Formats: sequence, C-alpha cells, structure tokens
Amino acid sequence: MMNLLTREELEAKVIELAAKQAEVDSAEVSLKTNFRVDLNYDSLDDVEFVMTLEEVFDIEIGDQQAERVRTVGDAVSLLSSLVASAGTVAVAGARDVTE
Amino acid sequence: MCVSNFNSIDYERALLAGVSYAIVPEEVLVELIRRVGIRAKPATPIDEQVGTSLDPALDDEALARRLILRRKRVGLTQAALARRAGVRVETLNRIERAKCTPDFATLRKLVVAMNATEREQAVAVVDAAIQGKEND
Repeated sequence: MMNLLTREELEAKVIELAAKQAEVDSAEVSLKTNFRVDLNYDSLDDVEFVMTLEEVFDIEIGDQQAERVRTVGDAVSLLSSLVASAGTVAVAGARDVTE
Repeated sequence: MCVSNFNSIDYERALLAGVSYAIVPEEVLVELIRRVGIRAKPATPIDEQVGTSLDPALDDEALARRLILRRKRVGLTQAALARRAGVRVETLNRIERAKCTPDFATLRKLVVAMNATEREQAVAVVDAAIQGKEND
C-alpha cells in the first residue's frame, strides 16, 4: 500500500518512526528532537532507524548522509530531498509480507 | 531460533491472561504468512532494549552488548559474521570488546548481514517443515 504524503504527513511519519525506535510516545518527539541527546539513541539505533526509513520510504540513504543526521528535522529534510529526487512522494504502509 | 524437526516447526508457548500464545521468531511467521499469500502487520513496536536508558557516554559498551546479543541470537560466530558482513574479524572483535567506535558504514554492514542470516534461517525452517510434510 503506497500513500502520497504532504510535508506535514512526512514529518508525522518520521516522528512516529523515531519514537518507535526509542520506544517513547510520539508526543515526546518534535523536529528539534536530537536522536542522541533526547532519545538516547546509540549507533546501532542510528543504523536501524536509517534502514527503517529506507524500507518505509523505498529510498537509499548514503552512509555519509546518514552520519550528518542529528535531529528529527535533519531526517525530514534529508528524506524530503531524497524523495523529491526519486520523483515520488510515497510511503509504504505497515510491513507487507505479501510483497 | 526455533528448530524445524523435518515436518514440524517447534515453538515456545506462553500463557498471558489465560490465553496461550505460540512464540516463533518473527521471520518464521512472516515467511509462513508470505507463502500462504495473506497479509499481516505487527500491531505494536518491537520491544528490544538492553537495559532502559542508555547513557551516551557508555555508547561503545552498550553497543557492544547489543551487538553480541544480536549476533548470538542469530547463531553466528564472530568470524562468520565478519565474513558475511565483509568486515575484518579483528575489527568486529574490537567493536565487541568496546575498544573502538564503529563508523556508520561498518555497523550497517553488520546489521544487514545479521538480518540476511535471520531471513535465510526462517526460510530454511519453513522449507524443512514443508519438505517433511510432503515426505509424510
């Protein structure tokens, strides 16, 4: 299932995924949230979060691009540019095991 | 990892609020569901944390613990994981002893290799179970 996303929906989705990785409520996460400082991400969380973004948004994020992401807002900006260059603004729904 | 005994998939059981649940690795369940051709999606986020709040200052040690736990769950030796991930075994050894901080690219290689191994094991378990059934 693919859905077109507005910027606001993209932000909400990234916030939801960031919160899920840290096992906190989405309400505790904003665009200013720093992954390391505010969500206690370690480097394994960083990698798993980036791989989740790649799977959900069907994009590829370079290692160096990923290393520059410090906040949820950074992730949204990066995704926004990658999704735009890929020519799609879509997000996969929950894990679809019939793919 | 649950073990396939030729024509069966062995699983653990847990009783929660009077309801008996079967516990199988998620990859096995996903593979079974995929073969049946129906949809399934997890209702809750995965609960996998070692300890609670991680102190950023202890990142290397916390990371080492999580990596070792994950590698053992998948059933890979350091050498096997290093080979699959294309990482030098000395590097993986130093990471798991919290003697160095891996860069993003190295960690990603390790995670990708462990995910692929988990997936292969799930496919093998389901294959073996189906093969056993066909041979009955």
